[in-house]
Amino acid sequence: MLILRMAMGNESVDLKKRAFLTRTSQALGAIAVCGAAIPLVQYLKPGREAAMSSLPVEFDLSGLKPGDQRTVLWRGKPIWVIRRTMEQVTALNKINPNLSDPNSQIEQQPEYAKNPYRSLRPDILVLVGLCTHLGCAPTFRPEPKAIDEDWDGGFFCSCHGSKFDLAGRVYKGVPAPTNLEVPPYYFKNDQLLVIGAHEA
Amino acid sequence: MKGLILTVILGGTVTYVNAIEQSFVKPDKAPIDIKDRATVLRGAVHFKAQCLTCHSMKYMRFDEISQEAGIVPKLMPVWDEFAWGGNPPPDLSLVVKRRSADWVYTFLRSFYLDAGHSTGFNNLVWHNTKMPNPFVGIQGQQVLMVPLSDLQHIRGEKRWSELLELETQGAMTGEQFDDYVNDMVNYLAYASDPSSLEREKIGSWVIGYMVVLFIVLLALSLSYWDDIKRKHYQSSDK
Amino acid sequence: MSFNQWINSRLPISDFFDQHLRQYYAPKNLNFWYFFGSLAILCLSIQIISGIWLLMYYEPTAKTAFDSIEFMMREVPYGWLLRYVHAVGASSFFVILYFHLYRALMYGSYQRPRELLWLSGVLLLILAMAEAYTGYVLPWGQMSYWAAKVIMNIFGAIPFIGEPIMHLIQGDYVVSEVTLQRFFAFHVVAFPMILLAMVFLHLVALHTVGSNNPDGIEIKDNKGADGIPKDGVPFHPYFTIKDLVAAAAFLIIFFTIVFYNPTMDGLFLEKENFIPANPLVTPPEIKPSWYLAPYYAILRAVPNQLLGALAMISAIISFAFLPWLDRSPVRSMRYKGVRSRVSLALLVISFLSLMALGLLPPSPVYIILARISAVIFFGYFISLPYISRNDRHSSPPDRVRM
Repeated sequence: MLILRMAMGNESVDLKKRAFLTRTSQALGAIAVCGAAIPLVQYLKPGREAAMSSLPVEFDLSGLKPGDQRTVLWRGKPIWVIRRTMEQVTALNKINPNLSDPNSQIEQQPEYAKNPYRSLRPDILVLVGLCTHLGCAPTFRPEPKAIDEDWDGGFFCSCHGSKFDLAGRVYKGVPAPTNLEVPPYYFKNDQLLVIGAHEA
Repeated sequence: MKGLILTVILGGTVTYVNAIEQSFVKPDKAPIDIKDRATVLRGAVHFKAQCLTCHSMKYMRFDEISQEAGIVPKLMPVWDEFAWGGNPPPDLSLVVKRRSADWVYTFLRSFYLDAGHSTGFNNLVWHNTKMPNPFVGIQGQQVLMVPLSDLQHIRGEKRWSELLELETQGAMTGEQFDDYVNDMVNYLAYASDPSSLEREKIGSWVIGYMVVLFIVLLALSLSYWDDIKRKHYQSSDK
Repeated sequence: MSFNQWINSRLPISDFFDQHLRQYYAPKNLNFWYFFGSLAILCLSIQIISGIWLLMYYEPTAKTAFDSIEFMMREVPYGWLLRYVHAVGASSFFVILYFHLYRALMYGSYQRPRELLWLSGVLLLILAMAEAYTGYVLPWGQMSYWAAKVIMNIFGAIPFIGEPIMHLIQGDYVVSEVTLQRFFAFHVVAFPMILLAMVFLHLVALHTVGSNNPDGIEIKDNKGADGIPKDGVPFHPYFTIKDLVAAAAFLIIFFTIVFYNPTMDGLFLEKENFIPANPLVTPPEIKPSWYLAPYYAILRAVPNQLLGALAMISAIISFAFLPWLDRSPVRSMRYKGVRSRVSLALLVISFLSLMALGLLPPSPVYIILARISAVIFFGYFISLPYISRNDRHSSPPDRVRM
């Protein structure tokens, strides 16, 4: 820096230009680093293979008896398909005061699942089988009084005790904050359920 | 253009010959334009119709253009090593990288009638290939104009069009067939390296920016070194 | 106390930068040939970052290695860019290293007191070759497999201990999946760690003796009243900015290749390596990468397996002896005579010829040319003690010329 100070004449012009160039270089350099970071960050995102696991999965309902539960894999997550019995369906019409979000106000389901049954068809229930608390897989407990005196059937998560009813709605006073998620799905025909896409 | 100049400068110091193995003819230059999405898609559609029954494209399993054309993993054949007498049709995902677009372009059009060969046809680019001629209906049937024994002597001197003549007309004219094969080669070139579709476009921005950065940095550097040089030349004894 | 002072009194970071950047004086006449050291650091960083990213999708098993790379290039966002950067970066690294080495030959940078700086550099070159070689095997293409086999067989050529050593390195009786996995361990962890440690030592050696310059004179011989070399300028800001310009220029060339012609028509990424490895089918031409080609040409030129291997190894090791072979009283080629210049020119020509010949098939004509080139190449080292001592030389100036 001593050498710099010894420069002859034209000092102020030179230094102003130098300061300008320095600032410009720093700015352009910072942009270049950001530019280089873009592909590095994009690379980290889930690639095509992960996207492909989102492809819709078909499920044949003909073998599903009333009261049965089956699990299908979609997007790497367990998806429950349950054929509810007539009694279970009728029971859902009752208003349960112990539910946290009985009218499914929070967006955990597509529009067509915003009803007392939380499904397109009253008898077929399709849910993402992961507790909305911390992601454990709850168990299907349709038998009344299975968990406690007031239990009318539903899903119980043994990890931290969260309870959901037979439409996947969460009870008050449990760790889980929201109703179980309903994935997009539609019925290709009476017996064929397609999970992972809305009806085109 | 930039790529061409650079290749000549940097690649010119070391020359090496990439021999077309077993080929009897000079390869035609394939007019590929992998930045043209339409021709790549057409080629994919042709590929699905003509080639997919025997040749898989396993690296194109999730490719957008391939899926659009109907080339999906479900339809790709899986041959074990003993199928087809130990010589199953190879996967073609990388054939252009392996052989060159010119090679494939020439190969696909160089089939000719050869009763002495197992498939009934032979090929000037890959002599005694086990691949049957899939283009009989479209290209027509070609015959060899020179005796087979002469082929060895004129290896690599002539083009296939000088050695083969169309005996029976196919559904397409010569030009139509050339375009047809060209589309297919475009798809194969794309499959070998899908990034080629967008690579050069991104590259021009990156390099343009680097040039600007270079100029600014150079100006800054010269401004610093001006001091040093001035002092050096001013003083005879510093 | 400022934040900087608080940190610095506990961990001397700003002191370190001050001492080694602002108060490290480099000769003011450093020219184009002096860019390549910092470019090498840039290139190494590029390789490390792109390498780490590639590691996220690469699968080091014989069955899936090749596929994992091809899938990554197609299915991972910018996967193709990372792959091409890494492959082009490897070749760029060697262009830089050879230019860096040539600078030392021209200006006598290996002469005392810089012998250890030079030796650490030779070691770095060997490490880089080992790193590149093990890296090349990882895609498990035809060239990967067969190049691995050929080089391993060279080890096997050593009498008595050769074969056990070969099996020890391979981990199997032939090059196999086991070899792939251990080369993976070498390439990703072992060699990079040694490389980085060696780069550090190389820089320590440099800062201890100070940089040479195109005039070959010691700027420390001429200090001002303040103890600073009169011909020295502080590395920061003068050389930091100069090196940034060089980096930008390098990156322009680098990105042009990466985006417009990453395989360089088979020079950077061989066509044969786009075929998965097949132990039953030998490729028609087994070629090494261009940066290893000169040594391969020497290996092939000698008709005896063991002697060929020894010749190849001596070609690399010969460079290490330069500080003791060069008896010239002046360092830089600028002040040496015609004989020295011709000799160096012949070295360069023979090296480049060997490089070209190493990439060509071993026809009789090429073998003869390779033998002639090899003789000229070794001739440089053998004749150096005599030529350097007896060649006419002029006196270098007291002060550097800009």
